[in-house]
Amino acid sequence: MKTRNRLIQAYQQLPWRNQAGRLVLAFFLIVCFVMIAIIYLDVGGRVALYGRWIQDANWEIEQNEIAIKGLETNLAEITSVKMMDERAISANYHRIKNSEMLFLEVNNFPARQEADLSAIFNNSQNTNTLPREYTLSLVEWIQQLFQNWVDGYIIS
Amino acid sequence: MDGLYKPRFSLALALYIAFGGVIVGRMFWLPNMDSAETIIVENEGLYYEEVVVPPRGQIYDRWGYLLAGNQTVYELGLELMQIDCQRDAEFIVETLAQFFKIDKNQILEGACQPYEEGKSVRYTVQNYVDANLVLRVENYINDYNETLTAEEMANGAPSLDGINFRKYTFRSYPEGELASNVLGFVSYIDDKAYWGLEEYYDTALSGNAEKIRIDYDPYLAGENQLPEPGVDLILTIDRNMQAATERLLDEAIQSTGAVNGVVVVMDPNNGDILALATSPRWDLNAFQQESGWFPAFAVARPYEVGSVFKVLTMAAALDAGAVTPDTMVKDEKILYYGNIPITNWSYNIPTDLNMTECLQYSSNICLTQVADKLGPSQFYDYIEAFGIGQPTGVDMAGEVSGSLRDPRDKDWTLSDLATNSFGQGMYITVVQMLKAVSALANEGQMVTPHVVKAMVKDGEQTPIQLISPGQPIKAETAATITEMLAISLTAEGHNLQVPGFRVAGKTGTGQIADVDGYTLDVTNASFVGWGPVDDPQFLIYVWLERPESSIWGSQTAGPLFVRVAEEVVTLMGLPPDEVRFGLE
Repeated sequence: MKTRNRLIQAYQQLPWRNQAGRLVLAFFLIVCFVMIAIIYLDVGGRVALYGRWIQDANWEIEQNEIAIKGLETNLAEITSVKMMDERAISANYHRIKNSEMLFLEVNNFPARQEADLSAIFNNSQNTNTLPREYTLSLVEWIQQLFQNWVDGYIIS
Repeated sequence: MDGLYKPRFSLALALYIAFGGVIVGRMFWLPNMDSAETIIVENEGLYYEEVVVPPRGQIYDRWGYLLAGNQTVYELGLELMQIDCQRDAEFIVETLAQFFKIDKNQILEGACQPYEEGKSVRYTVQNYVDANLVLRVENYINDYNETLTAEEMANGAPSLDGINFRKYTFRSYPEGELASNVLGFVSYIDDKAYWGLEEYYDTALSGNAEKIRIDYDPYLAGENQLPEPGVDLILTIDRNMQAATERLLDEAIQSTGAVNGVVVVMDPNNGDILALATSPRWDLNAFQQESGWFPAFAVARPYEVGSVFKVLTMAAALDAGAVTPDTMVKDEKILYYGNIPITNWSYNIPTDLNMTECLQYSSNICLTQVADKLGPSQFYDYIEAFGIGQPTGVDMAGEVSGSLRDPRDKDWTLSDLATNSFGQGMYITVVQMLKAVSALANEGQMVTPHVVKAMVKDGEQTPIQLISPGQPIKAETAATITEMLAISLTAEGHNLQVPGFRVAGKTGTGQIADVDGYTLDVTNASFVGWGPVDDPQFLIYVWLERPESSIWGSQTAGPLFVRVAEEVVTLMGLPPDEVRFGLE
């Protein structure tokens, strides 16, 4: 308590205390702005970095999709009718006739499903839906705020 | 004291504010200048534009087997900017000669071309290089670069950096010539689609090539829109049924000596073409080695179908009430109609025939009288209702409408009514006959033959919408004619029964006209049939052009129908009639 009162008294008697106070305030404001600037630039830098990653990833996706189609075609060649026939014959299979087939009635037996390729494909090429706010600069953002305020004022 | 120190203080404050202002100003300035100027190397610029061609859509059979896909191939080239002719060219040529068959002098000359931006940038050595070979070459180049010491590089050791591979996709048909007449092909020579589905659905399959802008600005990374990829097609074709049908057709061509052949298997309930086989066929992966016209016989080759057409004449007459199954006619071996003599294929046909016997004995004289009872106006109205002489709308390129004279044509005569009644004097395609006869197998309702079942776009599979092309006859008429044809087929005595199944059908032997008129030396042998009679699940049309072993459809096309039908019921898993009736 005594120390605190002494410090207060010493400050109240200190010459240039008002000027020093203003300087400290000025420094404080500058530091605040600098901190905001650092954060802003840091975020901006990361956005740029991730943007680059997105570009690289999109290119890789495209290349992989092309490669997948090529492999699909290779697989189709390996499992073509001609190849499968040859394998079947070499494994001593023979073509069955209708008269050799045994038909069994099975309740609720599901019929063979025809091709449904809708699940296989996933369009990932044009999926970007980054909100506009994420790419606005500070000035554009302030301009937008101002514009919204003006529009709201005019309407009201 | 304030007076002495106030200016110093003010100066200090002003400096601090200026310093802060610079920082704040920089904070606002940086994001609003072109980012690329600060991030991107100056030479690259802000963006580049290129024409992006999306991958072509793939084609699958109804069970998901791939019939037409895209293969990645490479183009081997030399980047002229990276080649020093004196230092590198010969070494590059010797290296490439280890992996490729090349003309060394030609490549050497190409490698030593001076680089000229926009004009002479790259020299192509070879196209369609396999991925495995590319890997081998790239591994060789990497190994060479790794063994180079810094001293060797400084002393001007030759470089292989000018060797470059460009990747692109190339249409590939993994099943070879299977269903080649249905698919058509994409020519790598001019990148165009020809015939079949490839041409008919070219716009959908190829997607939209677009000139797009690729931004270097990473803030705009997500906004780069790639062009829409091509649509994938799922066909009605059953790969296994197609292969079986082609195999049987090939065997029949071999055994009968026919020039060409077509067999089509269709579901008469909806028009799904399950198999469409022709012989000969093209190997689509080597189309450049094929010669002659593309064998699109089923859609692009109309012919005089002969007696198979009698089923339509009879159906029309029954539907109009001009005849009933019990109506009797006299067949006196020759009939003069419209100033031309009408005769039969045999003189051993009984004189008195009912309508079922007319079909059984395939009497031209009988059918001429039937058409006469119907009258020209009604006859041709029914023919038009059946879609004869008009394109069917089948989704394959190259369909023609054939030709048919009717009373509105100035050169039509009454004799045309007679000849048309038994399938001569008009040129009809196989798909037109399929569409027309489907009415007989589908309770009077026609179906449009088609080969595409669904399209896949953006991950969504959309079935093709089918529209019925019309109902030319009543359901009762369809049932009546089907029964008549089932009886006549059994009684015809040519062993054209499908074991275990009751089928309806008609043989056809169409004479071929040449400059001297019609002869019986060469014919078009045909057969159309469907079954099981009580609930048709398949409709099969067979055409063998100019068989040599026998001119008669009953001895060539008919047996082929039976073999195909036996295979079809097996692949469909269709129980024989007695098993089905036992289950009901």
